[in-house]
Amino acid sequence: MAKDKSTKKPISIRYTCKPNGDQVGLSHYLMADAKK
Amino acid sequence: MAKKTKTLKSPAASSGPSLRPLTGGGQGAGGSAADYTPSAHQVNAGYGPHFDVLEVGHPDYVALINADTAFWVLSPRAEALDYLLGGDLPKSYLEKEAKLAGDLETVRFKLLPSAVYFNPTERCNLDCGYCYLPREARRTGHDMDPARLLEALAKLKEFFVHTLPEGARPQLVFHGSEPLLAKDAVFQGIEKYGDYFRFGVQTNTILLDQEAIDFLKSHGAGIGISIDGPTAEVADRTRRTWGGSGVFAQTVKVLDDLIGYPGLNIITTVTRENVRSLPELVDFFHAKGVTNALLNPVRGTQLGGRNLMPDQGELAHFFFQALDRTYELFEQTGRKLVIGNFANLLLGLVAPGARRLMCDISPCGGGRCFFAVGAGGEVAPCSEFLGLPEFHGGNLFESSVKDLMATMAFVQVTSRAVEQLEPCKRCAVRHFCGAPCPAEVYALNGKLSAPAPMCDFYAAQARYAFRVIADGRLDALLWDGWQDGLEEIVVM
Repeated sequence: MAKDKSTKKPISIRYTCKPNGDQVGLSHYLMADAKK
Repeated sequence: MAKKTKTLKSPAASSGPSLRPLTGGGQGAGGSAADYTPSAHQVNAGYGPHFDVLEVGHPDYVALINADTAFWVLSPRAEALDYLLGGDLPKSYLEKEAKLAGDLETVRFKLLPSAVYFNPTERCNLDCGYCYLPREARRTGHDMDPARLLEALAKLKEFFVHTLPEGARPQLVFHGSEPLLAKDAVFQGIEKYGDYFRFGVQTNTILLDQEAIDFLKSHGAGIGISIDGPTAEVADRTRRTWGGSGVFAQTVKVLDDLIGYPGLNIITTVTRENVRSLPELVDFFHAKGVTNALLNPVRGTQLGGRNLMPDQGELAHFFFQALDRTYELFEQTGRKLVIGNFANLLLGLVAPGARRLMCDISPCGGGRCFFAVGAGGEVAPCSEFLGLPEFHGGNLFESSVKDLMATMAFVQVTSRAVEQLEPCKRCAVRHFCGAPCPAEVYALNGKLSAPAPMCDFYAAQARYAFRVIADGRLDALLWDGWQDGLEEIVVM
């Protein structure tokens, strides 16, 4: 599947997230939140 | 939303010092100082970073992955070797390695417990074929009375108040079995502690009448319902009463009533009975106005679930087709249906610390980010373990939560890491999979030190996720605003 040097650009995406104490969701439930 | 995609410079266009092979550059066989290159500036030896090459099945891209930090680059195929052997990638990677590693370390080992599965009764008015709770307990088990439930919530609140940051609101989901069989106790708990816990109720809807809906809505509680197919013919194959009647019609009626409620959650358990209907199910949900759903492959923790596990190839085929369908519908209508378990994997790739669900990471979230309380007060790392007494840490009414979480029952789950497992320890996507699920693994193998029963599927899912990113579909398959509050790490 080798190709000539392509015009495609490499892609790399990475973000960090500070833990906030209540971000965990449950796989037997989901994470949608009813806001009071 | 504008996607922030960082691009690496092509190695050929790099203005930095190019690296030469040790015996190259016309230096002759004797070598010279110029032949020496610090190992850190080359991949896969000495102090140099290790990059695996992963075929992702995309015509234009392959993935270069540092598995230890879950860092990856999608490289144009024809340039992959140039990136690997050039100097820019290892040099730039090493400059950010500590931050990348720290980010993953935090989500793997430093999160605090902040959620609870709470089963207020062992009983259920349905007999779903795949339930992870033992059948006899569901038929004849007991309920937690209101006073006992309030006592339990008080103990849980005391624990969280002392462990979580001020202002954090832990999540407590009444689960089951069928929690509305203990409705009085559940509603008293929500009434009393609604300002502290973020409550949810996962229900089969049979007892969810208008009064109950109004109560839950007025208290801002989440409502989770289960639908296993787009038609009664499919959905009722697995979700039935003890007498064998299907409940699809009742569930859809409740779904129609709850559409638009922000706390609505929907779970589909994917089995061999409904796997081929997943694309149609996406159409069904989307037409109903559903915006979030989980399509969870069934766990084989109990015999019933084990017998309903789908073929991995078939699961991959129809699951990816379903995801493709969500993208098509988004393109056609501008309205998203986010498949939460896959969206969580995408977050695992682009923002590991922002993931919410903790099944696809190791150690998993069981006993670490959340735990489960059974109707007798027994405490286990996860509801999947409630049916496995050897993983009960003890009883909430007899021990402190802190002590329960330090028991061997918990520690053996919270210390299970992919680095200890074959073949996971050499797998490039080990941190996008997590070798789930320990309860299922234990039930199938008699030990925790074994890979995921669905290993092939999870590897295929990681490859699919890379294709999604390569095709620019990331934002379409994630929730709006997924980048909010996140900080970008620019490697190159």
